[in-house]
Amino acid sequence: MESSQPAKKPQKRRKTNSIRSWVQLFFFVLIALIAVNHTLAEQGRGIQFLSSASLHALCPFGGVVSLYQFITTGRFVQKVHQSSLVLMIIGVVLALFAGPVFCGWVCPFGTFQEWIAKIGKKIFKKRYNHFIPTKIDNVLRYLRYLVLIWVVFMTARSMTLVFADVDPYFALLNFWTSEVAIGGLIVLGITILASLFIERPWCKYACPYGAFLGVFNLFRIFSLRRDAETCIDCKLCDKACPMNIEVSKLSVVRNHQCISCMECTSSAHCPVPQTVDFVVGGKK
Amino acid sequence: MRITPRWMAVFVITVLFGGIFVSIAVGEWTTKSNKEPLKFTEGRFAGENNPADIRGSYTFGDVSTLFEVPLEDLAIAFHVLEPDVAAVSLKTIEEKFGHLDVDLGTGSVKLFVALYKGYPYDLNAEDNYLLPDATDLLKQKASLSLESLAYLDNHTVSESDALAALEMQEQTQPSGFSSENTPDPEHAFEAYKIAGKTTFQNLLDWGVKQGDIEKIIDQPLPSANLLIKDWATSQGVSFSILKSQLQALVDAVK
Repeated sequence: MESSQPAKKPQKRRKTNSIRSWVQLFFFVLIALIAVNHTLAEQGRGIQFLSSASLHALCPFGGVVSLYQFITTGRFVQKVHQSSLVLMIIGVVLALFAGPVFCGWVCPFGTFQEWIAKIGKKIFKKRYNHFIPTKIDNVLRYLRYLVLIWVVFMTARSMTLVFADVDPYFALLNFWTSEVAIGGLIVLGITILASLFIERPWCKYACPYGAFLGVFNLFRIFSLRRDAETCIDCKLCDKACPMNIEVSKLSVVRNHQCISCMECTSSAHCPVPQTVDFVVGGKK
Repeated sequence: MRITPRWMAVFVITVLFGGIFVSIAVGEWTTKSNKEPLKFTEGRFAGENNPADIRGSYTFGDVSTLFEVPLEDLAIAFHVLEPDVAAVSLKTIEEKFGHLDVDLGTGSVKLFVALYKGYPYDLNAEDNYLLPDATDLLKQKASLSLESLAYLDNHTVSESDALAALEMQEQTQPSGFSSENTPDPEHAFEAYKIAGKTTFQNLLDWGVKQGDIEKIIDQPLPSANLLIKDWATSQGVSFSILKSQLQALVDAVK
């Protein structure tokens, strides 16, 4: 404990942030239904009250990779539509306030990896998510920025959605169509396998959209703060973090890998009330 | 002020769906292509639609309208057997010919349209392949450069692969589509379609006159039980082109 002041009484440990799990489930089911309806609509059997948009049209990253072409020609890269740009703007607004909250609460592929992680945790218990040496892991965490630069550059150069050929998220929710590239299925397979050992491996090391949103952690309006005066140094926040951030050593979390999942907060895993919290303007 | 998970959930859902609703309200939410391809900006085709921007979401009808290529030629070039050719999406090409070891899909339509219309097209940009009937059509109807002809020689699917693909396609057609099925009156129109298993006898049974068939095949009627496709192969005639000519006879007597 870092303070001589009496600590607040630890509350009974909550298992998880269940509200987030429900929100994640909602978005996963919604997007999966829309993906199925897209296929049905192409066969003339679509469900009327449900959107039949393609996954590309509902992916905010399409807006990011299309920006260059949109600015220079006023058009989008093939398969990307205006809805992607709208979602990109919404994602940026969310990130300006709360960081990559899209990754932690909405992204169906992040949710899918977390579900696989439940199996990995049962198999490996405490060793789960700690297989890669920290030094190597710290370097690998920047790999996704190379992916981001490569995707944006190649998309601008080719005017085609190059990322679709290796996109595991598209492969997951479109595996039944001929649109899925073999590269996407391979990356999906690797991600599923890796998720048994590492939590959210795609998000940590390869996701270009996560890399883009991660930058907002440096200046997000809602800040994730740890109160050193009340902290009992139990490190439950560190253990709860899917991205392996050592929250217990920070006063404000500005790490580019934070996905704003709130698992470390006093509303979830932290046993001391009002000790790790998302706050507005630096005050609780 | 603390933000609890409950408030974060409300915040995320409100901003996300609120943003979508606002964009819908102001008409900025579109999830489909507007089907307006890029135009050539320079050269003698400036202002005309550029086939390089044809997308998989287009239908053959869209391509026909936007690039003024007859629908019948597109149907022959890409073996479209469905009754409503105009409504068939270009995406289906990859589904039909995905088992071939070459790229035959939307890129092939771009290539075909560009060569058909004589538009400039970067042949080295992608390795797109055409079916033999498409290449035959281009050689008949388009003025091709030596470079284009050489490209087509190396980028045309073999006749045997094309026939195998055609057979596979016919096997997956919905019931009532093949000439082997006995049509009910409601679906009679769809049923009288020439397919790979149609014989000359079928044509006679459907009311086509022997003389009319002989005019098209330019010789006396062979064995009536011979498959039209087999006859076309033995004579070195394009089955798709022959099929469309004979189909016109069938349609005329319906």
